[in-house]
Formats: sequence, C-alpha cells, structure tokens
Amino acid sequence: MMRSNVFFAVLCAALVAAPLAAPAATTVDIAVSAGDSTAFIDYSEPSIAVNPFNPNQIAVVAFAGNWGPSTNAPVWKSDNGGTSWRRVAQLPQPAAGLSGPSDQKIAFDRNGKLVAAMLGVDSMINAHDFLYRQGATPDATMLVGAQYGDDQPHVEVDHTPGSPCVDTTYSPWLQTNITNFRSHAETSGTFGAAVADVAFGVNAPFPNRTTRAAVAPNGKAYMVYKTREGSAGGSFENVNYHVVRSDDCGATWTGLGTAGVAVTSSTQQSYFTLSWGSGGTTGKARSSDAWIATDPVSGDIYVAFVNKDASTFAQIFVARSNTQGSSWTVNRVTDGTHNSAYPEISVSHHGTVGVMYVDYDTSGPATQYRNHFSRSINQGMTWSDQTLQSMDPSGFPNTQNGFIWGDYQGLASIGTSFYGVFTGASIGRVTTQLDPIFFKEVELPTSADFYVRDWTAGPGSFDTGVEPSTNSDFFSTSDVWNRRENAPGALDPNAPPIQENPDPAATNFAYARISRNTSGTAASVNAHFLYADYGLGSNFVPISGSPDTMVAFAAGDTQLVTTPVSWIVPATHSGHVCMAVEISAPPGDPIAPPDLTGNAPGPADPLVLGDNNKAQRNMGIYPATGEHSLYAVIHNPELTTQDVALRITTQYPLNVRVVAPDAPRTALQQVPVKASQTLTLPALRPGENRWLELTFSAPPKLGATALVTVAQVANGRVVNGFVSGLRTASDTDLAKANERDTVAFKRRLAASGLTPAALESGGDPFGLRKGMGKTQNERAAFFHRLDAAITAYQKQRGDPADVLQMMRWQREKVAAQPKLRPLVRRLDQVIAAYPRVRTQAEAYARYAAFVRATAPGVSGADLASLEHAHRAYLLTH
Amino acid sequence: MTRVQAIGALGALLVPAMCPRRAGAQQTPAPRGGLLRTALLHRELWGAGYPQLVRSVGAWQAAGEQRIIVAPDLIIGANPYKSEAEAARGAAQFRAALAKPVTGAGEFRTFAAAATPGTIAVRRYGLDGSYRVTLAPAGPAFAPGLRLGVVEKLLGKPERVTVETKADENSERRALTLTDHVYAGGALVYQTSNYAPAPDWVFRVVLQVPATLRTLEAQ
Repeated sequence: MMRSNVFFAVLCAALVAAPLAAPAATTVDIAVSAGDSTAFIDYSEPSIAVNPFNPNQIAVVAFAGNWGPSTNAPVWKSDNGGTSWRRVAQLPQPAAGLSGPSDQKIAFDRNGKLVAAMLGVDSMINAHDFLYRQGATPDATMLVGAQYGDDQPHVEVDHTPGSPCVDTTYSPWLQTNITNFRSHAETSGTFGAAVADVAFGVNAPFPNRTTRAAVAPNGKAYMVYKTREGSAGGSFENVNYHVVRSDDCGATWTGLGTAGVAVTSSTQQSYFTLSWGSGGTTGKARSSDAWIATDPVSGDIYVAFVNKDASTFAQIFVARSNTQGSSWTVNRVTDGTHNSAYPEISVSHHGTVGVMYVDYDTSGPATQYRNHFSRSINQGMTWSDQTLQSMDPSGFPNTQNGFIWGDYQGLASIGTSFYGVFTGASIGRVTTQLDPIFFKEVELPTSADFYVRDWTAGPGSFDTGVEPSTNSDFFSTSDVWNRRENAPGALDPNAPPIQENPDPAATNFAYARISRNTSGTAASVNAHFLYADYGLGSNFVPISGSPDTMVAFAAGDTQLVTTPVSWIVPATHSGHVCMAVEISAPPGDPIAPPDLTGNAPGPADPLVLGDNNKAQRNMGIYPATGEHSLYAVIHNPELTTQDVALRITTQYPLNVRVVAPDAPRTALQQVPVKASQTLTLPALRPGENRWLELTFSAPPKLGATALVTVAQVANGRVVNGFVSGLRTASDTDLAKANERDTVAFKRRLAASGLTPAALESGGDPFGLRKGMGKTQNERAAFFHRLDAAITAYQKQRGDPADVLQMMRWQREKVAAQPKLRPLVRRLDQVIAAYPRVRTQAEAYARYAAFVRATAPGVSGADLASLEHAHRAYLLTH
Repeated sequence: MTRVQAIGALGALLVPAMCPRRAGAQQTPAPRGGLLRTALLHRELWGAGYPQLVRSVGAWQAAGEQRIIVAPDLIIGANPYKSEAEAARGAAQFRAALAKPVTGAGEFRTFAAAATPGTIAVRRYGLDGSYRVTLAPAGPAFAPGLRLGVVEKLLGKPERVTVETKADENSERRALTLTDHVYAGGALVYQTSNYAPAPDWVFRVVLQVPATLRTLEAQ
C-alpha cells in the first residue's frame, strides 16, 4: 500500500470529501498479557519502540516495576507484532542509591538493538538521566551508559542506512535546576556509552519545556521545544513551539537559527497545570503538549501540539514543513468540542500521519477520558478519528497518586502500521485498573491492502504482505516473473511461479500475481513492470512498450494474475536481467516513493523489503552440461562510495572471481567457496560496476539444478540478492539454446556496432580470447563470457539506467553548497518528474537541461554518453 | 593509607560489634523501654551507618531540626531552607554540634562513640527545590533491603498507615508516593514507596529528633 506525490496532488480534494474509513485498531492489555498483577504499580507514562527490521518485535516500558541493588526494572516485549507480551527484567539500577525508573523512553537502532533513556532519582529526590544500550543479547541486562541531564529524557536513533548520521543517538532533555528551564540535546556516536551535550534554542526571557526529537531520513535531526510566555488564565499559558535543526549529526542545532523557527505565526495557548481533567486530579499537563516526527521517506517534518483556539477548548493541531523546518502549515486535528491534550505523532512509510491524544467528556454522569487515534492520508489537511478506549478512572485502585498522564505516551510507525501504547483501563482483570494498552492499526483494511508476494517457501509458508518483508530471500521466489510464451506457466498458491529467462531475440511476457488477504470491494490494481541488469544494485527501468496492465479484482477475489504484458529486451541489451513489478491501487494503496525507476534496492533504501507493493525476481537459471562461469553485475546505486559485502551460499563447489573492468587492474583471485562465505568488494564508487564471476558445474543428473545464492549484507542484514543456477540439460537442448543465443548475439552486436576486436581490446577480463570451444557446453559458456564483455563495454561508455542516480548525486552536491541551496527544490522537481518521461528524446532533453544547469562543460550526444560524462564530472567535483 | 581512610577502615571493623542486638526470641530478648527504644536497638533494622545516625541526633537537635529523613545512603534534615546560604548556616550549626563530645546513655553512647566521620553537605531537595542539611554516613544507616515484614515482626503492626503523593512542583516526572507506616506516636515512621524495588521495601525512615534524642539519652 503506497502513496505517491502525484496521487496526493491529484486526489486531495476527493479524499477530503470521502476519507477512508479507519479500520478498528487492535488493542491488547500488555500487563495482563505478560501476567503482571502488581497493584502498587502505576502502569503509566508508557513508551514504545518497534524494531525497524522486524516489526513483530515491539518493546514497551512504563512504570511497571523498579530496579534495585540486585533487581532489574522490566521491559515488556512482544515477538509477534503485539499479540502477546512477556516481561523482561533488563534495566539495571544505573548507579548505587538511585531509585526508579522515573521518566523513560526507548528506541531501536537500525539493527534492532534497543536503546533507552532512563531517569533515576537519588535520596534527595533529584533526578539523573542515563542512556542504556543493548547488552550481549536482546534480553540480557542492558548496559548503562553516560549520565547527563536532570529531567525528561527522550531518545531517538538515526536508523536510516545511508544517512550521514546513521547510528547517532539523540537524547533531548530539560534542564530544571535553573530558574529558566532549558532544553538540551545529548548526542552519542556510541549508543549512549559517551555523550556530548548541547544546550539549544533560547531560554531567555522565556523558559523552555516540552523537548522532543525526530530524525529525518537524510540525517537532519530536529527538536521541538516550547517557550512559556506568561499566563493566559486558569490552567493555560501563552506559548510558542519552536523547531531547531542539526545538520551535523548533533554537533550544533542552529540549522534554523539559534532560536529555531516557530511552527505558528502567532502565540498559542497551552496547558500548564498539575490537575488536567475534570472532577479530580488526573494528569500533569505542563511538558506534554508537543511531539515531533518526520516522514521516513520524504523527510517532511510534523509537529503535533496543543492550542486553545476559538472553540474555547484545548485542541490538537499539526504543523507540517516540507522545507526542512523553515516554513510551516498548520491544520487542526480535533473537532473543537472537547478539551484535548497529550499529543503524540508518527508518520508511516507511506506518508500517513497518525496522532494519538487524550480528551475528556463531561456530558454523562461521570467524566469519560478517551484515548484517540487520528490519521491523515493527505499530509494533515483532513483527519479521520477513532476512540481507542473510554474510561472513568475514578475508582481504579492504582490511581492513588492522582497522576494518570504525564510526559510520555507512545506512538510509532513502521511500514504500513501504527503501533501505540497508552495508559488506559485494563482489559480482562477482575478489578479494573490502569494498565498500559497496546494498539496496532494498519493504514488500510486487509481487503484494501494489495501486495505482491516477495517469497514463497512452501505450503503455508509465504509472504502475507508484512512490511518489511520477513524472509531474507525476497528476490528469488517472488510473484513477479517472466515467460517466453503467452502463458503464465503452472500456478500453485504454495509455490513460486516458474520463471523463464527472457529471450533476448523474441517477445517475452511479464506476469505478476497480486494478492490481498481478505476479499472486499471491487478494485482496479495497476501493475507496472521493470527490469535491470542481472546482479545487484543495477537501476531498474520500465520494460519496453507498455509496461503497465490493469487487474480488475471483483469483490470476492483475493488473488489474481495479471494478463501477460509483452515486452522485448532492447536489441543492444543483455538478456540476463532482473524483473520487478510495482502495483498501485488508488485511492488508498499506491506505491511508496521512490518508485523503482532509476533505483535499486540497497543499504540506503531496501525499497522492495519495505513496500509490499513492490517485488523483484533476481534469478537466472541456464542450461549446461558441465562447468560454466556465470556473471552478475555488482553496481553501487548509492551516492557515496561503499564496500559491498556479499554472502555467497552454495551446495556445490564454486570459484568466485571479481572482475573490475573500469578499476585499476589488480591480480584477480579465485576464491573457492564450499558452503557459505562472505566476500567484500571494497570501495565501489557511486555508479561503479564490477562483475562477479561464479564458476561451477551443472549437477550430474539430467534436469537437476545447481544454485548459488548471493546476498548483499549491510549491517548484518540482507538488503538485496540474486540467485544463479545451472540446470543440467541434454546436449540436444543445449544446442537449441546455443542456436537461439547465436541469433541473439548477432542481433545485439549488430545493433551495438561492436566488433570482436573492440571487445577483446584492453585486458580481456572475461577471457574472450579463449575462444568459443568445440562442445555445446563450451559454446554456452562462451556466450556467458561474451554477454558480460558486451555489457561491460557498453557500461564503460555510459548507462541510461543510471541517469536518475547521477541526478540525485548532483542534487546532493548542490545541496551541500549554501549558495546553491535555492536550486535544490527545482532540482527535486526535475528529478521527481523524470521517471514519467515517455520517450528517449524527452529523457535526453530533460537530462541535458539538468546537466547544463548544474555541471558546467559536461555534454554528451546521447543519454549514455551524457551520463558517462556527467559521472566523470561528479567523481571529480 | 590516609588518616581518614584508616579511621574509616577501623570504623568498619568496629561496626559489627557495636551494632544493636540481633533480634530473635531465643538469642536476644526484646529490648526494654518504649517502642522507639526497641526499634533503635534491633540490629536487623539498621545498617553500617547506624553509629553515625545515633551520634548525629543531638547535633540535628542543636541545628534546629525537628525531623530527620534517613535514606539508605544519606541522613537528611527536614528543615526546608529557602536558600543555599541559609542551609549553609544550618549546616555550620550542625557541624559544630557534631564536633562536641559524645552524649547519650548506655549502649547508645557506645554506638555513638564508634561513629566514623560522615560528610556534611548542603543539597538541593528535588521535591520542593529547598536546600537541606545532609549527613552521608560511612555506610547505610538502616538495613539495606529492609522489608516491612521484618519491621512488623520486630515492632508489630504500625499504629496507622497513611499515603501521600509528593508532586514535584518543578518537573513532570513520575509522582512519588510515600506510604507512612507510623510507630511510637509518630516518632518513628517507615516509608514505603512506588519508587522502591518492591511494595514492602523500606524506602526511608523518618525520625522525630526530640523524641529520638530523649530515647538515646534515657538511662
């Protein structure tokens, strides 16, 4: 399910008129699920974190038990997406004599390791903040890190691979031991083992409160803080909410000026009270009136805040900035009928904005306190609201301290789902009390969430649309495939469809199998097919001709296969390709930007893993009767030089060699691989290609297949991969395949204007001079070498598939120069529009204009040569 | 080894011998006298810093403190001084009184004589922002990990139990709930708390200074 900017631009008005019905959230009493029954515990002020790599792993903390000299405080954990919970005592006393925990906040890093900010209280009832990080295992006692401030610690970790500040830990806190309280940020490159402190914003003449953090995918970090600007009468005071930005991984917070930028043009009125609510003390509402989040894809910033407006009620508002905080637009979330407070905000991977808050209703015999969740699918312009739970807590046994709500409640988003925790009425206890209540809400009902399976492992074991995808092999058994005939092949819901390598000299047919988990209303789903050079990291481009087809789901349909989409491999292109599909089902289920055009999954953005509307099939199986060398392109699709770590798995003896035609020649080493081995290709520059040569033999048995799986691993997890195979064929069948390849290569060489002499010039890295050989197997092996040599020759002269990558790279270089920053928005527009060009001529014209504006002196007669020249420019500027 | 370290080490050696009697019907009959005296003489209730607690009671009285809060690592005067300077004057009075010869009677005098020097300081009290005079003894003043069950076993049920919530006026941090288990007419209070590791875990002990001093000095 995904969004696109175009989709929003076109359909905003329609959505305002007819917002999608919000599916009911699933709620679970965490304490009950975990078997906790301690009545003296407050069970309030919870915080939640969801593992970005495995959203089934969720952690929650609340006031659920204290540490002691030999006792750890608990973290509740779920391993099944919040269905059930267990109590893990892993938060040790941070220093002798400290009681607690008091305030607490948790976050996961990009590798699923938990980080926590905790507050301990000494005998003088003075508070001390500490950061914790994961110990030896996820459930082991956490390691206590640095001690820093004295109140209200929060924590966020930059968990975007590819971010310049990835793994930086930010912990905002409020300094309360001075007259004018002040907001601070701790920054750590060691997950809290050591920290550096920066006091930010201004606390004169007005003191600060309410300090929260958010990190954008581009590494910019943001803090919101409040200035208290005098009483507004009763429980309210005049305030302003400011956002500051760090452009240097937390070293400074002046990216928006020293004070930052106020998110509203006028002063607001917010709570400052210890007795929020009606009919008794129920909450402290003084540092709990703002929260900040970023769109994990676009980087837009959202601030939810409290303001008493003309309705005379305190209301929840959301401010959005798509200018990295320099300007803001504001919309109201609530309906102007009840006092509301305690907002938290999060943004899904698809741009849906979720806001959790509490209001109260005094119209009945007892005041009802209501936990709400509102969401907006149009960047905050309109909202659909649901009440998660109503309660009258006046008789609850564990409310004796009179403070039900405070600075912390929890809301997070991963993929298509929101995950929250609030202080609510217990579910399933004999005597109702306060408990932490977990809720999960998917953006769309399952009947409207269309997806393409990333994997099928066997009966009952297949992708059900979970985001991110849960199988590390999400590239060889997916539901997108190619056929050489106008038929999808045998289809079995418990098996992956059967892929055929594209025929480079004939018409091919692309297919996708589209699923939804429950039947629903009729819907039209568009499927858009793409291909890329075979291997890893090569940028996708749409298949030739008409790459789109529409699939009409009737109300009862849950799985359909697309009609065949015919396509041909361009005459100059290798037939060794990866296939991909993107589906969209407006209005609620478009793809998440960016689309795959001009992109490739990799460490910076898994793309396919995180979006169930995308799938890829990176698999090539070739006939053989003996030993072959198969070749795969390893391309760096990122904007920085990177090492590429490959985990190679085989059941057959295998030799691996890396061929680097455009790098300084070094001795090539063959690496024998027996079962599994990691090979690192060092320092690939943006756009650089190397070839992985996999030499192995077809199995002895006719029809058997030898497979080699190559997975790209970054930070311990698979971010992409492909499978190469040799299927034992008869001599007759291999001869037929060779005849087809002969035709195809003649066609390709002719279309490319290439000669054998040109290909053999240079170092002959692919061994063409060895010749074709005499046997059918030797001929087939030669064709693999020839294919790689032609592709390498072509790529060394430029690659139209890399145009968008070069544009994005250029854009980053422009953005890094303060004088040129005004250009960035225009460049972003050009880049966003480029995938929609339909002809080579239009593509060249747009790219040439882009290059003229940004890279003086760079030119090229066609897309490939222009890209080649542009990349050379970017490498040196 | 510095002189201070030497004294500290000696004090640690002396403490086990100098501590109040171990409770238990067979080995140690219940101490004579009122409940406060009983409590002050039960070894299970107190820690290695007990001698300093006993030694300091008279000085707290001299410094004008009516109550002291005994935390595991700190003895805190209950006077809420508005400024650090005011509290410093109170601390000076306390220090001067503590330097005077040991008083007390009988076993208490022996305990007091074994006291090692503690650290006197003025500290900010987080709950109300006031400044307090504090004494950090060499070890915990009351028994580490003391449970309410042990208290009740030795002293019986409390006379009354009251609950109060201390809302920090400055911060929004988790409210501190203190449950007072009151003995000896209010002269001795065992406090449990929602911040403690367990519901029956003694978080702090509060002593009325005049009553405690009278008990310590009684023959």
